[in-house]
Amino acid sequence: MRRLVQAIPTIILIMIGSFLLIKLAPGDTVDALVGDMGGADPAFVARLRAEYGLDQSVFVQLWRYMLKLVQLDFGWSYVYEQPVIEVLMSRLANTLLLMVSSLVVAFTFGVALGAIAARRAYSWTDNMISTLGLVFYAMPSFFLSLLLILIFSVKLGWLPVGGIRTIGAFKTGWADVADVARHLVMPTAALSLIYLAFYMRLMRTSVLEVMDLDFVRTARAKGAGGARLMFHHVMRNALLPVVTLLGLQFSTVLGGSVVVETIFSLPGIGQLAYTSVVKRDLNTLMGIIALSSIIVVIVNVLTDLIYAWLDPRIELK
Amino acid sequence: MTHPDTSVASRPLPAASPAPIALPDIDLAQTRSLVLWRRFRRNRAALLGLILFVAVVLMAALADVVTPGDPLRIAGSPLTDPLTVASNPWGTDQLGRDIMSGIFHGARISLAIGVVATVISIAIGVVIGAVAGYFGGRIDGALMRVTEAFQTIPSFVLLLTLVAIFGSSIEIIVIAIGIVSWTAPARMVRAEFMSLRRREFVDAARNLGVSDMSIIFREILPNALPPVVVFASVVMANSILMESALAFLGLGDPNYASWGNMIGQGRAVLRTAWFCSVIPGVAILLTVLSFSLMGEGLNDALNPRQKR
Repeated sequence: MRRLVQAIPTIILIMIGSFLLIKLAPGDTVDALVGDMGGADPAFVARLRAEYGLDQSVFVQLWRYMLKLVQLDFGWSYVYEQPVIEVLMSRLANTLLLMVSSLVVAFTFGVALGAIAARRAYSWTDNMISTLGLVFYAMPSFFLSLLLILIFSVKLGWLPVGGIRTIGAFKTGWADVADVARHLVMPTAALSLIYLAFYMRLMRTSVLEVMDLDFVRTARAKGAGGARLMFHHVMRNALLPVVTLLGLQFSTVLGGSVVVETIFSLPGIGQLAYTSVVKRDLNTLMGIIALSSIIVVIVNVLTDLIYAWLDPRIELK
Repeated sequence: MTHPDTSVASRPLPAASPAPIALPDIDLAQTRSLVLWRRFRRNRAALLGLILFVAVVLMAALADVVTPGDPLRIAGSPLTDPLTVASNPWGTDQLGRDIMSGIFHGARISLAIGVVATVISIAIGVVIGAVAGYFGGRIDGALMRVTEAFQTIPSFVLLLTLVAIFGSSIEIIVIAIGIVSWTAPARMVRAEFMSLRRREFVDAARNLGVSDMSIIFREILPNALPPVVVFASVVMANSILMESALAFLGLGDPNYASWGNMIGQGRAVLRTAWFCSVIPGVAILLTVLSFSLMGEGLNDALNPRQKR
């Protein structure tokens, strides 16, 4: 709970910031409307401004803007001719699906590979894994996406190039699930690889550090060995920094989904951000910022909960 | 945390109090950088990074000598395969632009954007982190809320928004990348300052009546800087990745040859001419790799605990 309260000033700051950005952008709503109409006389423009509250002082406008945001009213999208919140909600599920699958892949493989590398520190296996991690880290997601498309769609023809479902197939039940999964394989791989590299490296250092601690020696002296020592004693403690990073990086993953969703034409929030930039749909763009901030705050609270579960010494109060 | 002086392990005093006598200080700095270089050189991966980095710098410097002329001009028949025509050794794209020329000139843009954006982000980060860490209390609280706000917004989305509002000229892009990536250095500097501000040499300076500003920038900052310099390599790699992603999406400055842009345009001919996007992709990969390798090598060289 306290974490949520702490997040309030941050959210307020983001609201003020996005309001200032809208104000800094050249032209306002009325300019856009009048431009669409092909011009209007000054008296009408002034009346429109009064109607939209644009003649009020900046502070009154800011207050109204924040009141609207609190009610999740992000305004009207002039590109989609829909309230922004509806546009966002129709795409949120796809983005969350992509992010969760990417993070699960990155976390599972990252932690496993990192632990293996640390178990055999400075061996051939470790060098192999660590080098691979550096290459993964340096690989831009858009380049990786193109390579995947080149290999698995163009050359081999195994996976679909883009979209979330096969168009016109209208599958139901498990067939539909399998179809969506097939469409998500390449985007997930492209988005998760760089984070996989992060988690792997952190897990490796973390396991190396924990293995030197006294309680591990005690556990070993008591006769715990092999798998039990690794999973029960070492991994559980070594996971703590990785979980922290997971929470911290959630917003970067959201940012990364812009590129990946655009390439694979997945109808999600990231692709929406790109089209909004191209079509100058500022209301939608600000809605995306607000929505993703809320998601990030929620994820941070969840991370704290996981953290407390992993480490009983930390209390939630 | 990593501290510069502990790398010279035999010295009894841990804090790097700026010595009043100038001569031994210079001497010490020289031996220190020598030790650092020796430790860096031992690391084969870091050396590889350095070689790659020098190669990229040479490409940027020699772009006008090796591949003279505008890289965006038509230099051959479209979609020439690599290694078939002597004047276009790496082939041409669908508009007949020479790929090698694009790579060499693109190295300039990538490096320039990387360096300037990194300087901007580190500068903002150092000022905010230093002030927050040194003064603490309310100032710290307020500055940390701002930092958190910037960390909460996905940085790439913020970058897109800034570019959407202020336009996509190269100056705006550089500044925008700096604005979205200062939070991590700020946190780092803040942590360093919080641990350093209670040290004796800071108290001594304060008792001498040195102003807050010069304590921050002349006494504490030099001691807090080494980990930040190492981290700059990460920021640099990230800046280059962000710029290329932006250019890939077609939102970069169209007046300059950029690796990201080349990949983005090569995407249209991926089926028939994979080299159009693969060559610049490998260029980005190797450049970013060089920064990670060097950063890692520097980190190991500066960190006295990692001796093996």
